Amino acid sequence: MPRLSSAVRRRLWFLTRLSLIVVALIVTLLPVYWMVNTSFKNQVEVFTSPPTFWPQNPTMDNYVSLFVRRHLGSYLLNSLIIVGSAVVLSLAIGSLAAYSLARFVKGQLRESLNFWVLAPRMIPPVALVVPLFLILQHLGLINKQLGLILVYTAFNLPFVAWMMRSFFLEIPMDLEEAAMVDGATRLRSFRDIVLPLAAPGLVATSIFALIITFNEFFFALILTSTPAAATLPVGTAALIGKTQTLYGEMAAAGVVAAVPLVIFALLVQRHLVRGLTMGAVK
Amino acid sequence: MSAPAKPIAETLGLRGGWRGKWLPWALIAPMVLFALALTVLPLCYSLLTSFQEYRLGQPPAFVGLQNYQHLLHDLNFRGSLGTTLIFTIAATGAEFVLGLALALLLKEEFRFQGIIRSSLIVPMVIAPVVVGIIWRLLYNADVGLFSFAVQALTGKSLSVLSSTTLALPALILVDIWEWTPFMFLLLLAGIQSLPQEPFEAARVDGAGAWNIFLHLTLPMLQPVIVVALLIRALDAFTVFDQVFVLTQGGPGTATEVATLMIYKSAFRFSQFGYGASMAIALLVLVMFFSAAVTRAFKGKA
Amino acid sequence: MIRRQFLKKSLGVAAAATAAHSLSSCGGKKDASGRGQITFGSYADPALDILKEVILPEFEKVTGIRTEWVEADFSGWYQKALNDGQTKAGAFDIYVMDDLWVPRFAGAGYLANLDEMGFQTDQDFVPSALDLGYWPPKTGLRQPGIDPKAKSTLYSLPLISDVQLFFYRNDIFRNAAPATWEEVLRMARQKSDPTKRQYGWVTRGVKGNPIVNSFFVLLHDFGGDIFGENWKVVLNSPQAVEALEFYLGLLTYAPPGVAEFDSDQEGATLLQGNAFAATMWTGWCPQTDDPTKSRVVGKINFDVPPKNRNQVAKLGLFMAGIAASAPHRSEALEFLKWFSSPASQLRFARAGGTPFRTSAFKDEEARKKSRWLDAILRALTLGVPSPRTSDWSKVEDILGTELNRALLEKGKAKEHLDAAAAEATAFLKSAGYPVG
Repeated sequence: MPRLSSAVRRRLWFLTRLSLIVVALIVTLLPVYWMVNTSFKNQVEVFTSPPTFWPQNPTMDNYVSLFVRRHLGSYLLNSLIIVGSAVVLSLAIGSLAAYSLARFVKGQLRESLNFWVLAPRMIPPVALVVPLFLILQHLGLINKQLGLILVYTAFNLPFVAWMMRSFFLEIPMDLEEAAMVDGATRLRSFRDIVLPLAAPGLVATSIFALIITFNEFFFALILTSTPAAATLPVGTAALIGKTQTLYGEMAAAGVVAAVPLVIFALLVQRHLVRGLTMGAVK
Repeated sequence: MSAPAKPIAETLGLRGGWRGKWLPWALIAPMVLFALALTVLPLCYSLLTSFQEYRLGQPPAFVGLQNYQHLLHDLNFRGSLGTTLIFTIAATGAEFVLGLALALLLKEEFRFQGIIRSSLIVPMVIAPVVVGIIWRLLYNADVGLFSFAVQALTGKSLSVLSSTTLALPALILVDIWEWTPFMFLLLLAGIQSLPQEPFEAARVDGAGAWNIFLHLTLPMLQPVIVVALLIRALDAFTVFDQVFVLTQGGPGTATEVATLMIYKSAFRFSQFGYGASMAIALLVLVMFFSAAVTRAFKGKA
Repeated sequence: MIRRQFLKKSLGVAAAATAAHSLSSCGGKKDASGRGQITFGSYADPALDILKEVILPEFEKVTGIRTEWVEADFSGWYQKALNDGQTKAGAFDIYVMDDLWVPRFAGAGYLANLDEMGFQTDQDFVPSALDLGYWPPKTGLRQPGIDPKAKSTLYSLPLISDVQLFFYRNDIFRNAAPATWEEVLRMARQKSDPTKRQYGWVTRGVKGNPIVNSFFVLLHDFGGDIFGENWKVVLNSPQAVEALEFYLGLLTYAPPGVAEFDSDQEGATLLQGNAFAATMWTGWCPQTDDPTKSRVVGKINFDVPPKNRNQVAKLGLFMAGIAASAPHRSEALEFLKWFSSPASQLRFARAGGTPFRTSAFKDEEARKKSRWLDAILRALTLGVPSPRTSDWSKVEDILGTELNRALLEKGKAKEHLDAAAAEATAFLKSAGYPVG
């Protein structure tokens, strides 16, 4: 078989690559499109056969009903406040701990640290939810935003500490040492030198923490109830009735919930990859 | 591993006496406090519950190891562990391969890379319960898009969720769709952070793309791979929402994963003690598994 | 610098949110007149809309008691209610329950004793519906640990009288509802046409509660039952096997994938005009005439299920009980009294709700508004509930799994019922029942 010229080969590779990317995009986005499509249909069209690729009688009813009858606005606001606060809080606490782990821990312990930091993620949530309820009840924090903020912070911490630790390991120590020789305290050098350098890492970590807690359902279900504190996933699940599921509204709720995260991801996606590149994965 | 971080305290000598000595602990204390109050304490409670039995209208009674003895003979639980294992291995494995392929495809700079990369991560930002509902529509044997496409292509109707052989793969497919983006992001970042020199040297030596991938990229990427696999595997082990919405563990017990059994015992059948013992058993197994994975890779990393 | 400001700002937002939250929680739950606010906890379902949107506002206006409605998905609410009862948290005043939760909730002491609180019943309450509110059960077996001589006590009231009706297409069954199950099968055989998506029958086939509920009617109609004397499991009696074989025969005319159908897909199949008949919960009745949900407006009629030997209908009521830990007991009791009064029940029925007073069922105006009320009343009198034991959901899970398997294999009825009976017996034995 004659060898293809390198120009032809490059061209072929380009086309293959392009078509693979297109296939990946289609597979990824088709169900997403179906969600958006469904959110503009009434119930009778959702179950039409053959399925319609474009709403035949497009309607905003699902969205209207969500906000007017089902308090989706309150749930959305709760989600943003709770998840936002929990992410900030876990970043603050987790970064301090991660810094300590990165700078002071050595020897045997250091080897097994990855394992122990991740260990809390191995616990099935079912095993934690009832005792957590009792603890928060004791503190008077059931159906309060603060209660869920604390739980989500605890939930995020292992992941945050693990990621931030690897970012801090990446930051050369000479910089800190120089500052400290100049008379800065350790905390000050952490604040003025280490944190700014690790900022992309903070962005990356916050995205993952955000995505994981924004969609958390199980704890939120038990620990909150009313539109005063309940979050979007709880409000969304309530569209699954005893005998009937409101598919259109469900899809609309999915769209409403995904929009803030997609916008956020678009805004920071460059930081995300850069952030991860710096540390985390080394 | 990055440059060995020699503890700075050693290099500098500790500043400010007690503050220097206590600083490492003070920094880590809030996190430990959170873990103790909101993870370890609840876990202890569950452990205690696992030694109890609840009978209607009676206070919980301590029954020692009875729940665990039951567990050993519970064929359904054993079956659910097997199902969970298959789910975890298949989903994590496929997500890894696909995520790596995507990361390799998209690692170079190109036009529209921002929007394409962002589009590819959309599935993981959608709430799992909505994901379940949308796929239930897609898989619907009578009117679903998926079944419709299969029928158009093969002329045969296909009901995936009510097939004992296809239901589990169908659930795995949903997991792959939802979480490949996570693998993709981690691995993309990992590939981009690799140093360029070894690759240039290899190319100068005339190594082929496949050889470079096999003997350079993969080994250098290994730490990332281990961590990415571990995180995804841990989440797959505790998969719940999609199974609950899509199949309820059916048909038969084909998709009855361990967390579903635990959930049903504790919250549907009110066997709180038995449910807790299953949860503890699952936790021990997962820890064992993760420790083994970490250890197996540690020597090579 | 910008980054640091960002961090400071975010921390500020978190702090402000926390502060705002603690301020807002100072309000408390009493209004100016000193009356408490009742908190309802419930699963979500469109069947509750009239209650929430018409009845509760009227109750607030009449009594000055404010109400709050908290809802979650079906299993989510069960979990929350169980948790609230078990921990005596007192987050809810009234639990909305599926009738099969009553044994567990009343038996474990999660519910307030309505007899003791002075609630009076009368002859106008539909008896089969009211009976479900008692614990221990008025008739039938009593589970171990329950005193066989203990007096039955009222712990909850019907909220919505839900029961499975026979929904059928009046353009297929032209003259009247089929009187026998044989007729349903015959029509399915004659007119089913899968190539045109025309199916003679549709049902809930997914494992667990759905398939058990849909099989339940045939099981009892053919003379079978779940438990015999002293809780002996009779799931594999000859009558039960015959019933399952008939059910499987009917299901050869069901749409593909029926083994994965829950209530929503069953309803959708009927409302798309793709099925001739189904036994469905009454929550679907209003939807059949709603053009945004149904392609067969006016073409669906309702009746009690057909008969073979022993005509029955499956009860599945929405019940309401006062939580033992309710912070506003007297207000909650006032709601139950008000809601169950003849005037409120009539109002509820005329607004399109399903009442539980015979007089409200018979009101002409209400019947004009909801043409299915007559069928519901007749079905209630034929009604059989799920077995009254707190361990039913486990047995239901066992049976449901085997029924689902039989459906997949389209046969082996005896084999699967034997397996279910054996597993259920083993379970009951371990739970202290006098079996085996």
